[in-house]
Amino acid sequence: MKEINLTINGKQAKGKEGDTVLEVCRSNGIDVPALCHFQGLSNVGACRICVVEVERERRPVPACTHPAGDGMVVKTDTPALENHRRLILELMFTERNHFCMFCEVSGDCELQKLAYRYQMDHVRYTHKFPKLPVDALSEYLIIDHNRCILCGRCVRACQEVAASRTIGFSSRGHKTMVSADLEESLGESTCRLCGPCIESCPTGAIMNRLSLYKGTRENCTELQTACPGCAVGCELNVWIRDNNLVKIESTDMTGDLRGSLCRMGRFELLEPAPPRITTPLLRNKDGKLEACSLEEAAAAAAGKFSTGKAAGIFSSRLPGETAGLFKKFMEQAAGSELVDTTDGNWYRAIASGMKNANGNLFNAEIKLESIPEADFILLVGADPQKTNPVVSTLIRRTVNSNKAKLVVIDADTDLLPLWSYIWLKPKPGTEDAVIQGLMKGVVSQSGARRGLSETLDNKIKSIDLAKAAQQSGISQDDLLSVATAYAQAKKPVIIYGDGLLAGNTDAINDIVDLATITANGNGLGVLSLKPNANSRGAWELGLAKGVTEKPAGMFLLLGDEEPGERLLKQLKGLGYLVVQASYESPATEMADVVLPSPIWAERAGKYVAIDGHTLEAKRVLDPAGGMAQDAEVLTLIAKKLERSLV
Amino acid sequence: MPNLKSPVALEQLRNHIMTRRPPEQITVSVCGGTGCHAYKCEDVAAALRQELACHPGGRDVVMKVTGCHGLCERGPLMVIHPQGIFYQRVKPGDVPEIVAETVFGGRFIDRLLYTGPGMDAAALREDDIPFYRKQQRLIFGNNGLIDPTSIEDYMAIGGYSSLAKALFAMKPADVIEEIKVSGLRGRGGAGFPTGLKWEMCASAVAHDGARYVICNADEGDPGAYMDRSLLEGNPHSVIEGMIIGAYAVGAGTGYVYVRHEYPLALKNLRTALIQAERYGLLGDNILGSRFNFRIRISVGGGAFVCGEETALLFSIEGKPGNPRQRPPFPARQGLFGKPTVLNNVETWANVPVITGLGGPWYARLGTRNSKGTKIFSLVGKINNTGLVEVPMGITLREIVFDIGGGIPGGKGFKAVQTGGPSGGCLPESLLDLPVDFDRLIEAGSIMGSGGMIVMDGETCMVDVARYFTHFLTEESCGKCVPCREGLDRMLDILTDITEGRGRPEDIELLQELGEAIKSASLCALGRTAPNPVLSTLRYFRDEYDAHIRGGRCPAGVCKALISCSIDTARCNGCGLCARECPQVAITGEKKQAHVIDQGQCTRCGLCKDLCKFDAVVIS
Repeated sequence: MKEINLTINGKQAKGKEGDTVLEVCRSNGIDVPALCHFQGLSNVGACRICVVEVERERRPVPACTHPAGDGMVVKTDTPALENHRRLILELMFTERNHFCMFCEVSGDCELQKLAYRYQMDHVRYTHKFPKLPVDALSEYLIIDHNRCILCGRCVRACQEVAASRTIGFSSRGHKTMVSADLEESLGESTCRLCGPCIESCPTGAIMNRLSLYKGTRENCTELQTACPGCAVGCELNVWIRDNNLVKIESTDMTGDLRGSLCRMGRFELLEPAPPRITTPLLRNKDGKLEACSLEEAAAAAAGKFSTGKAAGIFSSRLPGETAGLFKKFMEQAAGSELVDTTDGNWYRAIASGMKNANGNLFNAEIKLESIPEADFILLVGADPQKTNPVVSTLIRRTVNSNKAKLVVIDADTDLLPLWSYIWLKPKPGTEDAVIQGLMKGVVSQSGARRGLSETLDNKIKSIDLAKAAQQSGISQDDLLSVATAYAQAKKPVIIYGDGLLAGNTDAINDIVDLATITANGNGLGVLSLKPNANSRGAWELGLAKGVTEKPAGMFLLLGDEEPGERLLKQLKGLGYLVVQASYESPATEMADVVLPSPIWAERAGKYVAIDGHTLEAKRVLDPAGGMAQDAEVLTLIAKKLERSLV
Repeated sequence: MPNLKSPVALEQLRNHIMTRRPPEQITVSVCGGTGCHAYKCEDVAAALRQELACHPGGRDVVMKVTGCHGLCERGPLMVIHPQGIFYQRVKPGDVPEIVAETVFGGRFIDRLLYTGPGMDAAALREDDIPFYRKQQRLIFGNNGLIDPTSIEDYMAIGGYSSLAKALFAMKPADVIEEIKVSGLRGRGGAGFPTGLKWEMCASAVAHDGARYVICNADEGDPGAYMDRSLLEGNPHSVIEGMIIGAYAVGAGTGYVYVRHEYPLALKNLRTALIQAERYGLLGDNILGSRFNFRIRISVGGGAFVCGEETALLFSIEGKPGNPRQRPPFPARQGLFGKPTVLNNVETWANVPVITGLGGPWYARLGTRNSKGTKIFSLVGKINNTGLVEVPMGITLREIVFDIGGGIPGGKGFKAVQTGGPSGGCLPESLLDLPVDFDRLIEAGSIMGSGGMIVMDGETCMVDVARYFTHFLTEESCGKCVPCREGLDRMLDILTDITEGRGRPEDIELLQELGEAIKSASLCALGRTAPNPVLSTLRYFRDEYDAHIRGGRCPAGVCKALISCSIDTARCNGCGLCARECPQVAITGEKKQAHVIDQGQCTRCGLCKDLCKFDAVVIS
């Protein structure tokens, strides 16, 4: 990028070609105030606070939109400009109801800061005092229109970061309002509760309901850690006050691929949780759980393990270090090879489907970074908005910016109706027939890639398009039109998920074959959605082998995961049950020994995300009741079993 | 239907048309323009059609319903050729007499001829009427000659010969050069040099080669209807201009953005586009030149701000019509991100003239920096309401008094607002101002798209400023703060002043707000919106002072500041006012002076209008 030289306020400043004047000013340490500008969002030049004087321009220009040019002479702080900014602020303060002392973000508000900076101690115009509604119907967000300055940052964040297009403007002129969909309440709109709008709001107009009035930036500590919500692996900026979670924000909302966050990372982690387990519990003679010391509980657990072979089930929400220790514990202390993860069945389905893929199972998969580059996305058996919302955001963003074609294969709903190019609605459980039909179609369109294995070659030959169409209930025309689009794509991506578990896992094998046909040497264009923060890490450690024989008892290291029905069923009818968990649940109700476990914010360790991206979770809270970390508990039980885990 | 494959074929067709139209042909034109429509000109046309059908010689008479002739005040208008006899205020009942006496008898009917102030004798032809005499109707004059739904009529007056010249005798760069030499500036308001704009677009990088030309027919200024009348009356001139422009910049697609409030313009434009396509003047391989170009119509929803070019582009793209900050300019990144030339209807209509007669010829018209002619819509308190086309540089006095015939009712000229709602109000002292782009800006107003609202002595300038500020506040898109909030606060202050709550410091606040909105708004709507306030502050400051300090409205308009009373010396007690007063606020014995109950009176002014003895006094 060519370097350019500007003169700003009489001093030399350097910038790059393509920079805006504002960017050059800021990179040269010249503070130009701006309100409607937000780093990483597009610039619109609406607030007119950042206007500067540029030589040879007839009137002041907004620095945020004006392209910087070589030799440009800029003034940012003339008395006329400063007066102008004060006037704009006056207009903003009279527009709606800006009374800082009642506002949640007072002290951390961009509008308020500017008012102080320009010493705006009074306004000369009449206050309008409009009576505007406060929209509080949303589960997590509140919009107080009285504090809105119509800068449009939330609108752009919703479009550009969340790729959601829920928030927009309605009406016009001084009657303009930020509104959701066709003037719906946010709670009744298509809002996906992801929250970049909150983070982009310069005033207190959009608020996080769960963080409301719990603390300001000033009296909180901000710490970075990894999100335990799902396998995407986002980084969180957590606000802590008095060892309590106050608020969760992104670390780089517009810069990071995973920065948009979602309802899980931003809100659900702040939601009230079931009662915590803070002390070890032992089932007494009356069959009731009773508090005891950790030593007692560890001894009791060790006693149980001695009575017969235990199966160990591990929550893949827990970090890699714990996973490694658990594996060692099961092998060396409990003496059992019967291990599984809470999501092991999904792993085994993927593994069996991908057995033909070359090399390490998951290394053949794409990185998340490949999604925004895709020009064709096939979504099958997956509802990322539910399981991995940021993946859904990335898909929408890709469709918006790349004009990528999104094909949704789902027996129930078109999951992204405003983004999908076509929705194929197969009969339930016939995804494999659809994929096979597409394989046949792709090959008949473009010819198979050379060097396919004989098995695959034969498989393709054996597929009957008419039969695939009949089985799946999707017309041959539709199959062929999707196959044509797929064959023409330069960077196709298939995203599949555990929706296939309910129907047929054979489809996974077909998905891998379909991707193999069109692979262009950069690995397969597939990504399997994984449920938990460290699913891939735990699976790669070999923890998802599966419980292949009936064990005498079970050791469930559940952590802060919520036990699913499938898991609870597995816990029944066993000789003994030891559960190490953060929250009370049906699993702890069944247990003979309950050991406490810290929640995500109270522990540290590494996660391996959906695409192999590793990230480090840090401890941001002190463990409740001073409880021991999982590793200490495991070590202690091993000690009782007279084994060392070192 | 001839699909013209070469310029020769076009000329042959033209000759063929002309042979069927001898100069002695009797033609009756009935004006079908907007103004005449309001006077039910279609009834006149129907009567004429019927009368001619009944008359034995009727088949030899050509009858045309044309576009606007300009003198809307006197509609419905009728012109009988070849003599060019001009009849005004024609009623359906006059038609049999016209047909018998004038069309076939060659005699004219005195009562239908135009007479006006300062004229010795009735005018026989358009040229005899002062209203037309000082005009130079380069663009608009053809309206009266052609039936807008007939492409052959347009060809008969030389239509599409400029296109043939451009396509076969000129390179695209030559066309641009010709436009540059002509000095044509955009007629939509900003007055940007058209040739320069075309050059910017032609030289802009277009990745897939796509470029667009757009005709802005989103004429939103209240009272302005020249673009409407051009599209209604002579759509082919606009189309021809667009094709020439597209050829010059290399565009393959054009759009005409018309507001949906112009149904006749839309209808005539659609007809004209279909005709042009059938004649091979639009579509692939135009006139055998291998140049391809198509025009689509985009119908606007009626937002005033969509006349702003970037808002208009978004509107065509299907997005909310909000302006965006420039640069990038549309000539570089316009419709769908492609280089785009966007010109106003009148600008496009100028293009065939310039291409045909040459840039140097055109550049002789007008002033140093404003060339050619300009169409104004002359409305308000003026005798000859209508559309006038005058050379740039003509004075306001000539327009208002010589062409417009002065102020009716002897009420005296007070101000003229040029350039639509966001234009400035110019006082009597500036009547000798030559009208061109730069002089108007110097005087605190704008050319705009050519609205001209004349105000008489009974107009309150503070109220005028409040009225237009209200209009603009409602039409502001709300994107940028100065325009959205600044205008609204200005409106608050102006409302206070007109309602008697003005404070001395308000003048300063208005001035400051006005300057800030002007310098810092995002688009031209905001940048010109304070003009009504700033210009009235500049030229009519005494009226503001009278409202604020004197607590009175000198023009007797602002209701909170006036009172109605009856001059007992003049009132003869006829009782008319008392009978009609909606508030029943007037009482009095028959043949005795009446009185107005000030508590009941709402100062509607009806009594003043009714009183035949000038006994009602507004103070």
